[in-house]
Amino acid sequence: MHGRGISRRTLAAGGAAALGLGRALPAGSVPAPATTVLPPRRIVSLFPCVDAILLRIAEPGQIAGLSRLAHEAEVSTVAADASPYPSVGDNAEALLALRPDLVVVSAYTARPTRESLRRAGVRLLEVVPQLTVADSLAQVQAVADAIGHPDRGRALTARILAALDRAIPPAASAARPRALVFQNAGFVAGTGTLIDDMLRRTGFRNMARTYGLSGFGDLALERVVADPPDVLLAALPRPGAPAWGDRVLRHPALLKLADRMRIEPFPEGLLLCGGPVLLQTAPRLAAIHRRMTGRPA
Amino acid sequence: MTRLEGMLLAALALVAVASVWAGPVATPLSVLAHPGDPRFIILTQLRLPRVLLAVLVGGAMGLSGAALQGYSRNALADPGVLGVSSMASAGAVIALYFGLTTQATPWPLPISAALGAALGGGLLMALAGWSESATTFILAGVLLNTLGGAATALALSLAPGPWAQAEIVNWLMGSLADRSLDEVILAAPFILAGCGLMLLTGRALDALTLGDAAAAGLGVSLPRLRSLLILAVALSAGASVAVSGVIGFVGLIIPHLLRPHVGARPSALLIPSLIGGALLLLVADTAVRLAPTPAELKLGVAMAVVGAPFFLWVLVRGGVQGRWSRDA
Repeated sequence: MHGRGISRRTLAAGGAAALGLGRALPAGSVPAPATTVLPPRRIVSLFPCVDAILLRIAEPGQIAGLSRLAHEAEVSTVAADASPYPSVGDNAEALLALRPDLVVVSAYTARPTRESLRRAGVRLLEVVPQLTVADSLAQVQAVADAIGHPDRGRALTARILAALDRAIPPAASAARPRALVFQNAGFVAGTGTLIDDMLRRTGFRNMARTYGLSGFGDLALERVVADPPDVLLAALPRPGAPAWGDRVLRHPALLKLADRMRIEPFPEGLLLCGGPVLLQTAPRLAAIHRRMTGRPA
Repeated sequence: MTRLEGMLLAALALVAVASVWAGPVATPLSVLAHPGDPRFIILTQLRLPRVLLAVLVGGAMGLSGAALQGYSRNALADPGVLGVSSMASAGAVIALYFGLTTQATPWPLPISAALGAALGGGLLMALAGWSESATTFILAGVLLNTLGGAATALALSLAPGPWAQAEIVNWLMGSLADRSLDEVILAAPFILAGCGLMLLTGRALDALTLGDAAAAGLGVSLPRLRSLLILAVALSAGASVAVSGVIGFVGLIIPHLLRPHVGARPSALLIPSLIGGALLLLVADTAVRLAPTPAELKLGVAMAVVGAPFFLWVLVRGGVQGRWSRDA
């Protein structure tokens, strides 16, 4: 993803990018909706982060299908809400069978799939992953405009902004704990990621900055041991679905840091999307910050 | 001990010390006197397990290559090239991702990997035994490599969790990064048992250079030798892959480099290949750790970068027919 050639991380970044983590595209959001187009009546989304937005602001009858990942409780914050809707993959045939009039696609939707939809005359809404909170709010509004509910978009962005405000530590609290987002075998969120922006807004310093990491990338455990952060925001091993990467969190070298570094569970789903997901991310980070600095809830 | 073995052992000892010392975080060896120092943890919990695993895995691969090349009289025999490692990774992945292992009982992991490797080895020997042709032997390896890789990728795609792609690459392109002593303890018994069995095959491999009939006349039972080799390679390759993923080419390169120095007897090649394999993998693992890449280079990738041109060189030189022909 950063010109490193083929490595597991590159593919991991690809996989993560498919979930909306990527930084391959320039920041920015959705193109302005075409004017004088009637609001879509059958929307299919192939992008998990937009699924979360649609579930908040679309009419239930407007949604004809949501991405497969939205239904996976491991990574989705909206799996329960998504369950009534069909799960769709990147398969033009199955997509067209849903008779959509708007399909939300991303750069991670296979190009042939996008082209097939275009040829079939389906309107496409192309979105890119959000790398900052501001981008993410703009995306919420752009999706709201595209589906004919601009007022609901404004209400949602106002709610998100209020949640972000509540998560700002009090001015009196000068402590800025050093935090490191550490998932699956040392996959770390560096600078220029949405979660980096969220850490900054909620009173943390992103330790990845100290390690010199930008974007999502790999970090050798010995760097962490040599100069540990105050808190590790870790995806806890999933019961029943272990991954080889999970073992790193049980590494004896990390356990030996117990007196100098907290490990706080941080679900992967919070890492992957902005928009309405920030309504969960912000209070979660604020609670961790309170625990770190010994303030009452 | 021969002079070659002595030299290789001395080099291995030197590189092992250097490897514990070298890494992205500067760690003078003097911190070993200060257990409270975080760098003490780095040396003992991160670097030492890595060195031990590189020696175990590299040694097992070098020895497996020498034994398989001796048995098959084919210069391209190596657990990685022949797909035995791929089959082991499929076995490991199935055990890991379908809940056969727990933190308390990790043993199903190497056992399942060894079963995968044994299946691969068994199929390979059946195909190789059925035809004398080197082409058949290598094609069987291609088949097993494809099958093992596909089974690994399929199992990971079916397993829940968003990291499937990351983990697929992890298993197909091995690495020793951030391993712990737990993994050393998990792999060592199997690898040592497998290596011990392989070292017992020396006399039979020597006899085999005279041809199958002559070897049988000397009291070598081919079916017994074949079973012993499958078991030994399965144990060592299975346990290696279970903790490191697939790392190829060590078993291919090392016997070739050392053969000119030991003469034509396969038995004389076994112990030097064991030490040489350990040395090569340890050097490679230290190099990927020190390489100034943003993310650590995969050890399997590094070995492939070195191994692939070497493989080509072996092919161009006509090494497919091997040093020992069947009618020698």
